Formats: sequence, structure tokens, C-alpha cells
Amino acid sequence: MSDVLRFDGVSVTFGSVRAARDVTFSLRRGRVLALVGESGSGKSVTAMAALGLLPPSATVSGSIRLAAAGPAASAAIAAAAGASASASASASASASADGIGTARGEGGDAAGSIQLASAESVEPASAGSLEGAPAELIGAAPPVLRAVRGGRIGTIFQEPTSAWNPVHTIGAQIAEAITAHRPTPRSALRTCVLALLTETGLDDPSRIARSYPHQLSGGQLQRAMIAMAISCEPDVLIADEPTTALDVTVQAGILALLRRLRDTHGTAILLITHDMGVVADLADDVVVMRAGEVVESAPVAPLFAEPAHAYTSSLLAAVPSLTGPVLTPPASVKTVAGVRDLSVHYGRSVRAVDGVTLDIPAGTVVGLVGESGSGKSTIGRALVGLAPVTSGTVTVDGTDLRRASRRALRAVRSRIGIVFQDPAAALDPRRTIGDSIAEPLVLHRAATDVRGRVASLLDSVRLGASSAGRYPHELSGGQRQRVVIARAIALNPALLIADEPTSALDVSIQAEVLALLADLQREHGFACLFISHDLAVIRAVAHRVAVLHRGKVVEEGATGDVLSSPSHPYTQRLLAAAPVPDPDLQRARRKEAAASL
Amino acid sequence: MTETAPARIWPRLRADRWAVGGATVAALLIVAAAAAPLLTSTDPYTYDLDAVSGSGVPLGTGGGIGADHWLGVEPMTGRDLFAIVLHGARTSLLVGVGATLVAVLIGVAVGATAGFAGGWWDALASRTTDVVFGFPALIFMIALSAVAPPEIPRLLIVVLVVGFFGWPPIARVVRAQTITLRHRTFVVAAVALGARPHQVLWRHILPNLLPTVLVFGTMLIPSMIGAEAALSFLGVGVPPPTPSWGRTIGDAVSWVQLDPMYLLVPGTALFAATLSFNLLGDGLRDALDPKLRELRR
Repeated sequence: MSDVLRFDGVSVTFGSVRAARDVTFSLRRGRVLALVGESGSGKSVTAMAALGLLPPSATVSGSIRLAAAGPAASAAIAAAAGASASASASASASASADGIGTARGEGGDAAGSIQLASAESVEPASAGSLEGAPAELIGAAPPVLRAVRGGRIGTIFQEPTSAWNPVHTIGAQIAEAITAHRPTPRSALRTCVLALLTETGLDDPSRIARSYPHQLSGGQLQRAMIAMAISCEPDVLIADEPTTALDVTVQAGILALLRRLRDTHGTAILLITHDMGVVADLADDVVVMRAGEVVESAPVAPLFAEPAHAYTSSLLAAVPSLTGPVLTPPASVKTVAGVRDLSVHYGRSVRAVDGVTLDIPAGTVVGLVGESGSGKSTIGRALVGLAPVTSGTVTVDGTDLRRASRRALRAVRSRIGIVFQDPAAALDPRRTIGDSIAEPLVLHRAATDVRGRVASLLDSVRLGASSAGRYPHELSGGQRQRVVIARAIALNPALLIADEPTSALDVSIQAEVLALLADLQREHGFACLFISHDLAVIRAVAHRVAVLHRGKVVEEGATGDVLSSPSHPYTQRLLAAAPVPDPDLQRARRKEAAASL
Repeated sequence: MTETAPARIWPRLRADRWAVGGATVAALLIVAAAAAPLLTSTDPYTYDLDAVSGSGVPLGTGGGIGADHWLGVEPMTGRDLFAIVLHGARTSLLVGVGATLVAVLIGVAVGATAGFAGGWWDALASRTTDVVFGFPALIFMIALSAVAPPEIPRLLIVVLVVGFFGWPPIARVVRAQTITLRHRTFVVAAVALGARPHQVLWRHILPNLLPTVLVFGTMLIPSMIGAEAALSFLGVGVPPPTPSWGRTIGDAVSWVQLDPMYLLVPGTALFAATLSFNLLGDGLRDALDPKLRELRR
């Protein structure tokens, strides 16, 4: 009875490719259902089918039924569907608009909770016969879909910065979303927008409403996006990777907001994610998808405690953990590379790196952790001489990069290997992977038998020498990253810089790549600067950790010390915000965090 | 820019009927031009005064179409129109392809170095591009043809002049693409590996510019053919008696009342040549960038 949105045997095909196959699950009022899977598992495609937002090349079959919830909403759908009864439709639409306008107006001045128009505030007489009859969304007429999108089903996208139109203010865009479904007088609209922004926990809502997207942070934009999504009091909220593009401390706030919406408004939330920590933090029910099929669906607690399907357990096992043993740093005194009082300023106001001193001892993996904009990638680039250093020294293998001649700089670069975040972008699409791996050997005339060396490098990253003739687009993301790693270690580097090497990869592949990096590090003994935003990943690979915040190192030390007993408040906040893939533990942590406030 | 491996391009190109048609016609034209002496026994210079009346109008239907002259004859002289058009194709295609090569060479050299080096060289190269782009090219070409010393072959002058005024659009596109490529991770990776600038340019930038240049070059050929025809039409292109479509069209305009076939035959040939290369270029662009094609649908 409380099923709000029911997916029944939904299949989506693109030509001969089956993206989703016989997917069945249902969303319930006041519960969060997490659709979990790796890239290409069909989770987003399934969700978008409900909104009729798939490209024309997609064929959808099965049934997606949206329960007729409130009479006001069903009246809107009836109005849209029944084109013949246009006169009565517009009458009922304006009636409900008045009700909403006043309801929002009253709520607007009471900051915090607002009483949006609900079923009670509108005469149920206008509901007509459609009440109680669920609406089929697959193959629905465009007017019906338009009434549903944004009206009954709100959507939040992954990338908040690109989901907004840059030429309009946030307030204008939210107002547009409201008037698209409910004609509202201009005076009421403003109060209504401000109330929504307040509801999503944004400070100074009138400033936010006046702002253009580029003036706000990712977290603020995502909150405003949620404000827009709930503007018509939807029964269902589809959140497609809502926190993937956000920092972990910001993510915690967004997840708390979604939880509050679920509890106070009874919204059914369809959460699409690949992050088991997010699932443990927010979800009530979980549907695990792989290669377009549902492999397991269960409530969150039993799923994490005793996964029934082997794939689910492998998925859970692959998630790096914030508990368990850590690596102990090797007793090394020799420093391979380091920066001293490094500052990188852009213009007068932007201090990307502000007086950082960091040593990378031989044979040691130093984890550099920080949120976006903390300057961690800039430090990595400075170590290869690719960042405009304002002041300080950068030393690699005994050479001061800022004073080095071009020739000396090239020589030092032969001692450094780099692994980039996105392996697809890091490989020349027009060269075979054998060519790409051979590049450092050719550039530095480092090997007589280039082909043999490439073959052995391919072997050492477990790709097989026979794959040398393939092109990057023929490989998977994980395979491409192996190629990038092979290229990085081709010259037996003294220093390996790994800049978010697994952020673009699925979790099971991330585990493989991390294991490979650790093996190669043990084997070759190079020093490594491992840059990541993910504390659990850092914990899995690094001997030492440096925590970066706004261009400054706030804490540095052995991994075990820093991550188990952080001394700086920022590190503590970072650790507290990272969700752990265990629903019970995560609930306890949440309580603890609430108590400490 | 996404998928540029030849193995992926051919099937997509073959599936495009218009591109296949364009490629076929272009190939036929090239073969016909190359084999012109084999295809017709008469040469385009021999007069046949028996084929025209006393006033110079071709005898017989359709401008003198018959067993001897498949497409009729030229008024006044009675020269074989089929031979003229066939040999004219040599001139047109030679100038079209030659001038395109000149334009592509200059355009890629200027655009790629400007985009890659930046700084003062970029400023200088870009301003030069703007100046050449805005230059009244046609008037300059006419003037140059008038004063060019007779020792230099006119065909060479036409190729060089038409080519020289054709490079600015290529330079602009190549420069923009180079700037984009320079910031792509794989180029940064090569620099970080210790590659010298010329190695980066040669190994990574130029190969990735190839698809763009290929498409642009193919689309440039018809406009170059058109430019040659325009010059010859105005009487400053290839000198007589060397056959040229443009000049034949220019001559035919005054005969159009009495002998419309005289205009129609070279006009059709010019139209077929420009259209076929345009279709081929369009198809190539779609095949190299499948995303663009889906967006246009």
C-alpha cells in the first residue's frame, strides 16, 4: 500500500545492448532505497527510465507505476492527461496554486520548517476518478511525464556545477521550477524560494537566491538543487550520485539533509550510488545491480551483515576500511624528494599552496590527503616542475628543480613516474599502449631492447605482453590505469607520484590497482607520494600521512598515529565525516558526532 | 576527436550513403582526369570547322552531339567539348588539390606552432592570420596575374596564390585544437616524462590533429576548385589554350541563347566536383566524430 513508485520487470536496451534487464523493486514512503552497482551496471539508466529521460535510441519495456498520492497531484496529472477537459483542468490548477501560495507565504517567515501545500489544503473534490489509480510511466504521454518530472518526482544530479544554468540566478531557476508546475503569484514566489533554501540548511538564503551558480560552492549548489527538487513537494526524490562530486565533509551535510527530508516529509528517496559508505549511512533498503541485472535486494542491515550473493560480498570486501592494520614506515633517513616552505600563489588572492614543507623518505609511501582546492595536486605538479612555484624549494633526487637547467630538469624527470587520476585522458588515444609505455624509454634512450622491456613491464602490471598492440579505447578503465602505471615505472623511478589514481575507477578495480601499486612499491622500493581525498584509501597504502587544509599541512606523521588519534581538529572532522560501510557502526558514529556538537 | 582508429572509421564512412556517393564521384573524376588522353582520341586543341556553321553555331542537336563529338563542340572552333571538359578536369583538380596542400601545410605549421608555443609567436601568427583572412584576395590575385613575369608557369602561380589565401581558416582551427590538446593529460604526461617540445609536438599533437586536418582539407578542395574557376572565368587564371572549366564557362555565357549545352557541360562538371568533395568531407567529419552526428539528429 505504501509503494510510491514500483519498477516491475523493467528492461532497457540500446540497439543490441541490454543496459537493464528485468529490474524489479519498489520505493516506499519515508524510506531510502539505494541502487548500488559499479559503472555500467544500469543503475542510472533504470532510474532515468522512470522520468522518460532516456535517449531516443533506448527501448524500454516493463512497467513503472507511480501511485496517485495526493489529490492535488493526481488532479494535475489528470489535467495534463485529459486534454479535452482543459477548462476544468485550468480551474483546478489555479485553485491549487492559491492554496500553495498562501501556505508557502505563511511558512516563509518562520525560518526552518515550512508547511507546503498538502492534500488537506485543497478541496479533494477536484481529484476526480484518478485518485488511487497508479499512473504508468513507461510510454506515458509527454504532458503526463512533464507533470511527473519535478512535480511528483524530483531529481538531483551528480555534478551540481553543471546542473545549473550559468546565466540565471539560483532564485530565478528555482522559481521557474515552481511555476512550471504551479502558477504562483510573483510575491508568493519569492517567499517560497527563500523558504525552500532555508529548509535545505543554507545560510543567508536571500544572498543565495540572488547569486549566480559560479558564485557558490559545490555543496551550496547541491543544497540549492535539492531545494529545487523538493519545490513541488514530490513523493519521490531521485538522487543520482548526489555526493560523488563533493568533499567528504560537505557530503556528510548533504546526506544529513536527505535523511531529514525523508523523516519530515516522508519522501521516498531513490539513491543511486557506488559508495558503500553512503549506502550504510543513508539507505533503508538496498538493491545491488550488476551488468544490468538485480543480483540482490534486501534491507540495509542484513545486506551488510550477511550478503546473500557472492557479488555483494566481493563488493563489500573491496571497500577500503578505516579499521584494521596499518603499514609501519620503514626505518629510513634518506630523503628522496621534498618541498620546503613551498608556496604557489595564483594572482594576489589565491594561495593554492601556502608554505608547505614535506619530505618523502626513500622506500616510503607518503599519503597526501585533503579536500578539493586544498592544494594537494599542486604539490604533486610542483614535484615534477609543472607548477608555477612562488617561493620555496622543490628537491627531487638531489636536484633543486627551481634552479635546474632544462637539461637537468629532463634528467630529473626520468627519475619520476606519474600516475594520473583519469587513465583514459592520460594515454594518447592514437598510440598503442605498447607505444605509450615505450615513450619514456625512447625519450631518454634508456633501453636497447625497447620491445622486450615493454613486454616485461606489461607482465609486471599483469596485462600480458600480447596486449602491447591494443589501443586505449579497447581497454577497460582498470586496464588503462595499469598501462599508466607501467609507463610510470618504466625507468625505475626514484619517486612515483600517484594523483588520485583510483578515483575514476570502480571499487573492485580500485582494490586491484591499490594492491598492484603496493606490490610494485615493495618490489622496486621507490618512494611514493600518494595523493587522495579518501582517508580509507590512504590508510590502505601509505606509511606516512600529511593532511592538507587550505594550502597548509595541518598534521603529519605515521599513518597509524594520524588516523587513529588525530590531533588537529580538521583531521578529526575529516575522519568523522567519512562514512564507514557498516550501517550499525555508522549510526553509532552519527550519534557520537551529534553528541559532541 | 573521440575515436579515431581507422578500423572504426571505415565502417561508419561506408554506412553513410551520401559520403560513399561523394567518394565515388570524386574518385571517378580523378581517374578520368588522369586517363584523359586514353578516354578520348581527339585532343582539346584540334579545330573541327566542319562541325560548326558559317556563323560559328555548332551544327546538329544539343550543340553538335554526335558520334565524333559525344558532348558536342565548342562554338566558332568546333573543338571537342568532351575533350575540353576532360582535360579541364586535370587543371581543376590539380589546382584544387595543389592549392589545398599549400594551404594545409601553411595552416598547420602556423596554427600548431602558434597554439603550442603561445606568447609572442602566437600573437604574431594570429594577427598575421587575421590580416591574410581579411585581405581582398580576389583583387590581389587578379592584380598579381597581370604583373607576374611570363617565365613562371601560370598554373604554378595560380596554385600558390590560391593556396596562400586559403590557409587562415585552417590555422585558426588547428591553433584552437592545439591549445586544447596541450592541456590534455596525456600531453602533460609526456612533458612530465621529460619530452622536449618538438617531441611533444611531433609525437602527440600532430597525430591528434590529423582527423581535423583531414576533414578540413577535404572540405577545402571544392572551394579551391571554385577559386580557380573564378579566376579563369575572369580571364586571369590558366592561359588559353590550356583547357579550364572556369574559362569555358566564361566563354559559354555569351553563347547561352544559341548553344545552352556549351554552358551546361562544364557547369555540370564543376558542380559535380565541388559537391562530391563536400559530401566526402561531410561524411568524414561525421565518421570521425560520431557524437556530433547524434547531436544533429
